[in-house]
Amino acid sequence: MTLTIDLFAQLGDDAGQSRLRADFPDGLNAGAVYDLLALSYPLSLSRAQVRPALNDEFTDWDAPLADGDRLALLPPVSGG
Amino acid sequence: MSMTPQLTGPPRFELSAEPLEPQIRAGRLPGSASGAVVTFEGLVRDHHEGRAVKGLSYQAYPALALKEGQRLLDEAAARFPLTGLYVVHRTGDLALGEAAVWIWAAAGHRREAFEAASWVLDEIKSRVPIWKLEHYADGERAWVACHHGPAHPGPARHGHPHDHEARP
Repeated sequence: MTLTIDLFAQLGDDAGQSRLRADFPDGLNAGAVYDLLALSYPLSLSRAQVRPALNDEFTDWDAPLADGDRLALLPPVSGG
Repeated sequence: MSMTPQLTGPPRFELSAEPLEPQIRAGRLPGSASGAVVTFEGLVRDHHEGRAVKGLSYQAYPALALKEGQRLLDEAAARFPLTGLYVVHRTGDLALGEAAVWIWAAAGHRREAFEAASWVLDEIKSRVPIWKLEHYADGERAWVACHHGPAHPGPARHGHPHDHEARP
């Protein structure tokens, strides 16, 4: 399955890009995708520090993903 | 017959890549049921944890920030007897002294307006996907990472002591 992954703030700096498209094995959940990304990029935040969003809505790490999904990885927020 | 305060319009959360002054000066009509309007502006200040700051940038996840911002304003409207509620949060590059966030809360009485504005700011800081990049006078820059949503509240989880309330 092909995923679009948005990496915000610190994670975008860590990966050297704020959006990437990549192929992943079918059936992976969001957490497994994060762990795979952390093998390829020097992500400085642990999964416990990051919140996932799927297709513009908050989700959980155990959320199953499908071809064409957009997964966003959100560091701790700091607006306001 | 007791009057229940009514919102003069739906609560509205917006992002702006432009300075907030135009929106602020445009003003809002609080409606005749309003006895108080509290306006809060969070400003870019020149220091953070002892470091000189020369400016900052906000990055937002627009689609989700607008959704979550609207949700929290709807929650505020259910929680406080408001007659109006409007928030604009900046994105992009901000200079010292610029407004980063603007909250406008109108209510029948001052206490509700104060409390709602304060509650809304706390919720924005803890749950809306917006991130602050500080630019320091020494040329370095760093993402400020302090909050992790309602599932992980409390300064004890952050691991670094500082004054959260005073930050814009």
